Amino acid sequence: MVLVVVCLWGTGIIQGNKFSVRIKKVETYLQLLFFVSSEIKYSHAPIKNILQLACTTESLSQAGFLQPCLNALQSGESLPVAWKKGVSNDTQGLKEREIQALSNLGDFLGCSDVDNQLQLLSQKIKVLQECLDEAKEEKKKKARLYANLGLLSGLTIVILLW
Amino acid sequence: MLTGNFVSGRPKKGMDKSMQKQIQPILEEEKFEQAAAGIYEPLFQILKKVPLSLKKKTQEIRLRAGQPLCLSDGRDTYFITTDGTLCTEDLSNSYRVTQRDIEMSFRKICDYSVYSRQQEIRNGFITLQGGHRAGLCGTAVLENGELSGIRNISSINIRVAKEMIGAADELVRQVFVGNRPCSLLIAGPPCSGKTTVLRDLALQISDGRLGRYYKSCIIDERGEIAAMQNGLPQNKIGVCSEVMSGYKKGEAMQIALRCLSPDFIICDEIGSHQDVQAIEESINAGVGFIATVHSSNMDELVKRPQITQILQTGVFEKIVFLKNAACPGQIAEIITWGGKESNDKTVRNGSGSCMLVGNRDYTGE
Repeated sequence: MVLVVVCLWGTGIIQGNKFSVRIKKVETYLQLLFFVSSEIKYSHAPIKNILQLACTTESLSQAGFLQPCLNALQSGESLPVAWKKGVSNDTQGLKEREIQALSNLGDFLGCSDVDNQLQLLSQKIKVLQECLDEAKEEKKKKARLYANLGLLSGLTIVILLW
Repeated sequence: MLTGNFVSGRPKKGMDKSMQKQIQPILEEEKFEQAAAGIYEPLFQILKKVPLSLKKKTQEIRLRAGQPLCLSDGRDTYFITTDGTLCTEDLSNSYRVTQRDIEMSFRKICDYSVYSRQQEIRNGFITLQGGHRAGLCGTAVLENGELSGIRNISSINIRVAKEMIGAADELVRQVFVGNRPCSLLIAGPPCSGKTTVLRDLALQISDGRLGRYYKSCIIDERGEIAAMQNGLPQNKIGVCSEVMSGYKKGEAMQIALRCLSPDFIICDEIGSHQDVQAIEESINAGVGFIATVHSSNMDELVKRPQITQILQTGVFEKIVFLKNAACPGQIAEIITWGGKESNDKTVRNGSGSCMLVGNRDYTGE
């Protein structure tokens, strides 16, 4: 009986934690975009070099997007294709709006001068910031609810079986 | 105190043949593929199929929107079909370059980061890995009356860089008496091999081949001499060379004099007012100058006010004129001009005319 309660409660907690995964990922992408933006502004370095540099940064290297994107670039793929490959490799936990925003970025990144690139990145950062706020709000509302629902379901089943 | 192993050695003046053999340039067909790799992948795949003999002698890869993809060896033009075979005439099966090919090639040439090449785009060409040069042609974008970029790119011309180790041998033998390098102006028409000779000269000076290792500072404003990529030179420039890549010549000369204590300052294509000013400010600093300039002969050279102004300073001890594109790197004429040991010797010019440049009488032979 205890096992049933624990299992369902655990399931609720796991479901609730999915919100944390989304938050963490959006935060990592935001950090990456800030990094790309500052590197473009400061060093005017090519995107490939910036991504390579990001790979060596501990907090950004966790982004599952980076390595597949770099591998594709190194194998001769164009940036839009490589970027999409990277994003599609790292969609777990993200919502459609975030995936869309990130995928589109590859089509325009590196296409224009510094000012336009910074504008583009700041627009994407704004979108991701909104997504992050939304994810945090959602987590606040639903994470505890899922855990409680899991616990209650477990208790209900125990009572019914009793 | 010196620690570790100290190996004494002579400069490479007396280098034996086995050592000389190690200094081999990259194979010409590899240079071709390296240059072609800069463009859009489908076109690169077609260019890979080009016969080896043509890869070796190709000087230019030309992409023009709506026109056939073609190669040039400096004399003839070859049109390429989709299967990589060559024709000397534009046939119906020639591969037609599309606007998308051009656009994607442009983005690839820019490393998919156009903003990082803005200055080069303004200059009209982009240096690729290996020192190859992609010339761009399109519609000018002006900002406050000045060129700020190019849109609707209609053609790209990729010049395959030819790194010719030993290209300056003849010049060294004829100009540097007793292997003593001096300030030198290398002049020649387009494609006469000025940059190639200059690059090899930089190598010889700073690599100990003239009896000692001279410290040279290469001011590579347009990335054509050393072709730096991620901080590494793509061409051989010698062990005692510093490369200032992308700097304006004037600023770079001042920085070099203040911070790098060079024996020689080496730069390509002087001719602007700023260059003149910088050179004037740098004379009497105990530094030699080696530079190139666009000019076929002395008549043309002295008609350029900025160059005349530079010559008047006496900074250049000798002027070397190269022949034309048909015989790149070959010396047409050497003129002893000024410098510390100058006796104001006048040497022939093609026209046989007599000119007065500043206080120097330039007399035809």
